[in-house]
Amino acid sequence: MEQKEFMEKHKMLYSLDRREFMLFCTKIAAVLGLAPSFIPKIAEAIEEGAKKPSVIWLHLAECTGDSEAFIRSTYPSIEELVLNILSVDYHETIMASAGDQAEELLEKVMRENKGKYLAILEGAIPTGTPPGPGGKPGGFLTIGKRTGMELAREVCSNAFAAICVGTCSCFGGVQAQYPNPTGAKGVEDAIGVPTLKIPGCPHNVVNSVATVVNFLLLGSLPRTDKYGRPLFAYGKRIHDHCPRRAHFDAGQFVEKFGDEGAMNRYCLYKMGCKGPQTYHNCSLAEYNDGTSWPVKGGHGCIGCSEPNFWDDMAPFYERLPDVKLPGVEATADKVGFALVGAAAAGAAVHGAYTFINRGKFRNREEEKE
Amino acid sequence: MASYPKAAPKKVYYLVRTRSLFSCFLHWVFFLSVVVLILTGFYIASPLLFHGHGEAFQAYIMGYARLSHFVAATFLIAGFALRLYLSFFLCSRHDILDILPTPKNIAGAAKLAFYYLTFHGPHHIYRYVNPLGGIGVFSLITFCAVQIGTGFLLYLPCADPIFWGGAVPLAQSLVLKLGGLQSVRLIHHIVMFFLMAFIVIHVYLQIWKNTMFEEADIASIFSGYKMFPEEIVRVFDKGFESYEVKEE
Ligand code: HEM
Ligand code: HEM
Ligand code: SF4
Repeated sequence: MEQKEFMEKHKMLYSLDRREFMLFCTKIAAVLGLAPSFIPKIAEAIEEGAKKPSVIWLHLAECTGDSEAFIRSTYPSIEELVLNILSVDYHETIMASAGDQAEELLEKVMRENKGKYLAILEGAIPTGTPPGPGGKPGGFLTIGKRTGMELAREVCSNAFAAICVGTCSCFGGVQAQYPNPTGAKGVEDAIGVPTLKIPGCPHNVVNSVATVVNFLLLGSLPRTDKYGRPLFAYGKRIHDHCPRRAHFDAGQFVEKFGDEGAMNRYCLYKMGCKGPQTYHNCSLAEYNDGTSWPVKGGHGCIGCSEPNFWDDMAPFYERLPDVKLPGVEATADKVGFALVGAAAAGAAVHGAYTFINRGKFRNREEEKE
Repeated sequence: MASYPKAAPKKVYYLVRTRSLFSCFLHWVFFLSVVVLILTGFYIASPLLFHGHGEAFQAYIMGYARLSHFVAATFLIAGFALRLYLSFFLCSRHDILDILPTPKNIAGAAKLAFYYLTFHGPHHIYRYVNPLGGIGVFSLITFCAVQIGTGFLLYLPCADPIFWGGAVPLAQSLVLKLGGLQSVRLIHHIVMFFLMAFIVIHVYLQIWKNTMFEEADIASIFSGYKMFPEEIVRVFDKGFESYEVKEE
C-alpha cells in the first residue's frame, strides 16, 4: 500500500490523531528492533479490531504499580489499549463490576475464550500456609474465597499465554525478600506454568505493549532469554546502553550525591549502580513515555528487573552485597582482607617460630652429618 | 700439641633437572598475568586512585584497566592451556600427579606439615614439587580456574555476539544457575582474595624452604635445576622421586 493512501485510510480512526498514532507505531517498531517498513504493518495489526485479544488481568500480592504504569500509557492511551487494541475483560482495579458479578464475569471470559485469551499477571503468589485454624497453602492471599494459587493456576492453564508484568509476578519481588514469611514466589515458580516475563518495578508499559503488538503481528510471543524475558527489551544490560557509560570508561565517577561529579552527570558505579548486572532497556525506552529513568535522574540502577534483586542487589548504595557467614555479616572486602591478613599472619608466626627454634632445627640437620 | 678437629669432608652438591625451561617460563607468565589481573581487578572493583580528567573522551582509565584485565586474562588462559597440555601430552612424567590431592599426596603433605611445624618425624625430600607445595599449587590453579570461569561469565554479556556466537546464551544459562551476574561478580571478587592469600603462603613457603633446607629450591623456577647433596642424587638416580629422612 502506498504510504499516502495508507495514511488517508487510517486518518482519524482513533482518538489519537494520525501523527500521534504513527508516532506510537514507530516507537513500538523501535522497541522491537524492527525496520521502518514494519511501521505500517504494526498500524494495520493494531487496527484489525477483529483480532482484539481478550485479556484477563489478575492482581496477586502486589502494590498495583504495574497497573498504574499501564494506565499511564499515552501512546496509545489507556482507552485505546483497554478497549480497542486489547479487550481487557477482567481487571479488578479498573472494571466496573464487583463482588459476585465480577466472579461471574471471570468465569464467563474464561469459558468463552478458552485457550485464546491472554492472562496478564501482576504480583507474586504466596505459597506459605498461614498459622492458625483454617489456614491452607497459599492462604495468605485469598480472592473470592479462592487462594491466589488456585486462581492463577486456573486462569493460566486455560490461557493462550500467561504474561507476567512487574518483578513480583516474574520472580517474587520485595515480598519474597528473606525470610519471606508468606512464601511468596513468582507465578511460574509457584504454579509451574511457563510465563513470559516483563519484569521491572514497575515494568515499562512500552515493553508490555510491544509484546502484545508482537502477538498481534505474528500470533506468537517474542523470543525470550533463559529467564523468559523478551530479548528485544532484556537482551542487553543497562550498562551497555547507558548515557553515562563514557564516564565509566573514562574513570569519572560520582563519589557522593550532590558533588561536582554528580553535577557533571558522571557514572554512578561507585554509588552502587547495578547497571552492569541488570538486563533492561530503560536507557532506550525510558519511563513515562520517554520522560526519564533512574540513572538519567542521577540515581544508580537498583537492578529491579533481575531475579532476587531485593536480596542480591542490596545494599543499594554498595556495589557488592555483604558476605553472610555464620555470626558475621561484613563487606566482601573486609572478609577478603581478613583472609589475606590471616595468611600473612600465619606465615609470620610460622617464620618467627622456626627462626626461634632454628638452633634445634640446624643441630638436628648437623647431627645427621 | 693442640689437636684440631678434623675438617668435615666437603659435601658435594649436584644440579638435578626438575622442570623444563618452558615450564619455568610459563610460571612467570602466570605470575605476571595474575599480578596484573589483581591490580586491575582492584581498580575495577573500586576505582580509587585514578580519576579521568577533562571530558569523557579525553580519558580512558577504566577502559584501559578493563582492557589490561582482559589482555592479562588471555595470557593466563593461554598459559593455563599450555601448562595442562605439557603435563598431559608432552612430558614423559605426568607432573600433574604431583599436585592433585590424591590420598598419597595428602598423606605426604600431612607428614611434611607435621615436620615443618615440629621438626620431628620421618619425612621425605622430593625431587619435584613436594606434596605440601603441590596442594598449595593445586589451590592456586583451582582459584585461577574459577576466576577464568566466572571472568568469562562476566565478559560474555558485553562481548561481541557475532564472534562468540552460541557461547553468549550458554553463558547466560550458567549465570542463571549461579544466581545472576551479581552473584558471579561476588564470587569473582571473593576468590581474588583467596588467590591472594594462597600467593602469600606460596611465596612464603618457597622462601622459607629455601632458607631452611640445604636443597636450593627457589632457583628451580628460574633455571629448572634444583641442588641436592650426593647421597640424595644417588637415590634419585635409581629412579626414586623422593629421599626418605628417618626419625633417628
Ligand atoms: C614471587 C613470586 C613467586 C615465587 C618466588 C614462586 C616460586 C615458585 C617455585 C620455586 C616453584 C617451584 C616449586 C617446586 O618445584 O617445588 C613454584 C611453582 C609454582 N608456582 Fe610459584 N612463585 C611465585 C608466584 C606465583 C604466582 C603469583 C603464581 C600463580 C598464581 C604461582 C603459581 C605457581 C604454580 C602453578 C607452580 C607449579 C608450577 C608448575 O608445576 O608448572 N607462583 N613457584
Ligand atoms: C587471577 C585471576 C583474576 C582476578 C584476581 C580477577 C579479579 C577481578 C576483580 C577483583 C574484578 C572486579 C569485580 C567486582 O568487584 O565487581 C574483576 C572483574 C572482571 N574480571 Fe576478573 N579477575 C581474574 C581473572 C579474570 C579472567 C580470566 C577473566 C576472563 C575474561 C576476567 C574477566 C573479568 C570481567 C569481565 C570483569 C568485569 C569487568 C567489568 O564489568 O567492567 N577476570 N576481576
Ligand atoms: S551509571 Fe550505572 S549503568 Fe551507567 S555507566 Fe555507570 S555503572 Fe554503568
